[in-house]
Amino acid sequence: MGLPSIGIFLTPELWFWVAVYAIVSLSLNLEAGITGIPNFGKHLAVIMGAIVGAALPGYLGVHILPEEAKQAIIEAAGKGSLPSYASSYNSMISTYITNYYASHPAVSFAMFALTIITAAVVGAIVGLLASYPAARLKEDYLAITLLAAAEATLIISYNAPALGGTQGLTVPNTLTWLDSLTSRIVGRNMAHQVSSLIVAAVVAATILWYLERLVRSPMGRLLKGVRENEAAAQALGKNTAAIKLRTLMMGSALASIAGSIFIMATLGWIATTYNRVSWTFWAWAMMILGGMGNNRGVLLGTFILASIRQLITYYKDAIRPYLPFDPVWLDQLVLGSLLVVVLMLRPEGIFAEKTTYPLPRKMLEDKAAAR
Amino acid sequence: MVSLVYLFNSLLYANTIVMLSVGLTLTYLTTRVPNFAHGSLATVGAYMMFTVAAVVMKESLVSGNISMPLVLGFVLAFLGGAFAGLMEYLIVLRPLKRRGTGSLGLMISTLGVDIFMVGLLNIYADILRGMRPATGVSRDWWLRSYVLSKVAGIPVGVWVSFGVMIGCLTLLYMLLTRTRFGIAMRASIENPQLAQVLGVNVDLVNMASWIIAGGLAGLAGALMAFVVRINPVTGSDEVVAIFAASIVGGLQSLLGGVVGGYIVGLSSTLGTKWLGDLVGVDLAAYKRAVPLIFIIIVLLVAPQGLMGVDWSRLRRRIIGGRSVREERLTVPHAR
Repeated sequence: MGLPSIGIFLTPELWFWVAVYAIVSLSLNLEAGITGIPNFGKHLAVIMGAIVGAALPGYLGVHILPEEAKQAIIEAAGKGSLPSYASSYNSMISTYITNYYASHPAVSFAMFALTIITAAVVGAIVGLLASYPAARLKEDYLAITLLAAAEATLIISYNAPALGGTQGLTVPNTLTWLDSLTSRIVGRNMAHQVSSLIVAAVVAATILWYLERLVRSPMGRLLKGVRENEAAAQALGKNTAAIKLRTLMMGSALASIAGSIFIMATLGWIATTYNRVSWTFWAWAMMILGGMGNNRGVLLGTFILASIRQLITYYKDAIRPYLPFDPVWLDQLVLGSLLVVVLMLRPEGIFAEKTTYPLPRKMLEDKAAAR
Repeated sequence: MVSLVYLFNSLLYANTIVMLSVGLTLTYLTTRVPNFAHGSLATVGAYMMFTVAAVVMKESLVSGNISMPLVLGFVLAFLGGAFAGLMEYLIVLRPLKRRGTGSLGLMISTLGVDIFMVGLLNIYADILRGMRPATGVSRDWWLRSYVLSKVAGIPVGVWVSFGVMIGCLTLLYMLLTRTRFGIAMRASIENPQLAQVLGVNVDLVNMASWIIAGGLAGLAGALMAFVVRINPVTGSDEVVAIFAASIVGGLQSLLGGVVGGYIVGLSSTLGTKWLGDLVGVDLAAYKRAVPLIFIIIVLLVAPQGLMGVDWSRLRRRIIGGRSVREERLTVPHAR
């Protein structure tokens, strides 16, 4: 430990995790922290985004392949017709598609953009469906319903033949347009990691910027109003059901984008990756640790917990002699005890939610003084 | 057609879900916490059983004479589950409740407890593997092959399962209706403040409910080893089925938990089998999705659960006549 642990903060992998989890936990903060909808089915939107990221570049990619590549696949498979993307020839087909994308950066970029947009649309539909129970059930029942919906989706997608079933899928690389640029700077080996980090970081930064502006806007104050007292918001003529609907659509679309980016980076689909612990409970822990309702706090919480997780993964072997048990279980012990300890000692999180002013406070004071 | 073995397995599974769902409902009624760690309490019981049967008294498992380790295993499973449940209440939930944490916070804390317990169980499973259990492994183990010998044409495991389940529920019923403490428990479920004013120690009642629920869960976990391959996350995976059972029953009464347990337990096993045979597709892989679909449908259609549905009113809608509940409501106004 000690000094070498600093090295991990220089790897693109850690920052990629931070960025992807930042998207998920910030979107959760929009729903649960700011608007007060306890979404315990966060991984539902992430799964749907990942499904889009796994299916679209492959199924669509097979059709846009040039004829000679199709012929080569047919010959290699020896079946006389083009095998399905999710068949046992999945990894070979993916390689052909990736090679095609690599030689056609424009197609690759178009496919990347299409995947992100489709993931966002699918996520928004998930949010639309989730708003139905959200308008009717109180908090613990709502949490159970959303969790159940997400778990059911996970089980179904884990067994779906179109997604490779329990074997999963190898997914073609849609980031080749960016990989070719980054490989000139950081070399071939790191290129894909760096380009996925860039995509995730750009999206996360955009979301942070947007949410920070949102909480300062009249809309943001309305969202907090719904959280604090729904009846009062209704009495003031606000349609709280519509507001919850919009929040859930927005939050789920963002989480769905995170899922598709994660697939683009890992280039492999297997449904069990998107379980409730990894994508819902960790996101909740990040939000609670950082401070519900405070975007910057949530970002800090995300950074702390993603780092802890990566440190445990990286230094498993280094800490093994000091522990009476296998360090792979440390992950669960840390997450479990952290949720409880934070709730006991500092339920408001590291950064408690502060009053947000529509303009910087100094500017408001100057205006008041000038009047 | 469903084979007899499959039917027995489904009944065994449903029995465990019934016991778990009764316990979950009990703690929800007394402390108002949806306990997401309830499944892991069952896993604690299962590993207690494993410790006795496969590690400490492994000779009897090899020789096949396991009545002694089974009895000891059930006792330890009850104690282990009860201890874990009590600790969850004393260390986590009671301090949080005294701090005034809301129901959302309490729920999150039970999620934390669940993840923590899975971690501990994983460590314990590693330790047990080092002690060379009779099954050779400490993960994905079960005791099914040891309880298959038949008595009166029915496997021993089924007799034991029904015996334990009916015995526990009868004792619980007697406790709640025939003893002073049980009546105090029911009083504090109905109205905690009033019960406290009348001298009922509500905190003691809460502790008792966590001990009972934990113990029932522990026994259910030990029984589950007769039909499901157990590893440290088994209970955590089953927790959604337990919630489904309790929610179908309405989370209002223990009887609802029993009814819901059978509905969810049998429909996810027998139901998927029948449906699969009907459409000619093997749906076994999707059986864990059934309870989840139950949760969603029940909460959206009848959020009070089966026990909350005004059945006589429903009957009146279909065949005419007046509902008991409506008569009660309308008579005073008629005067």
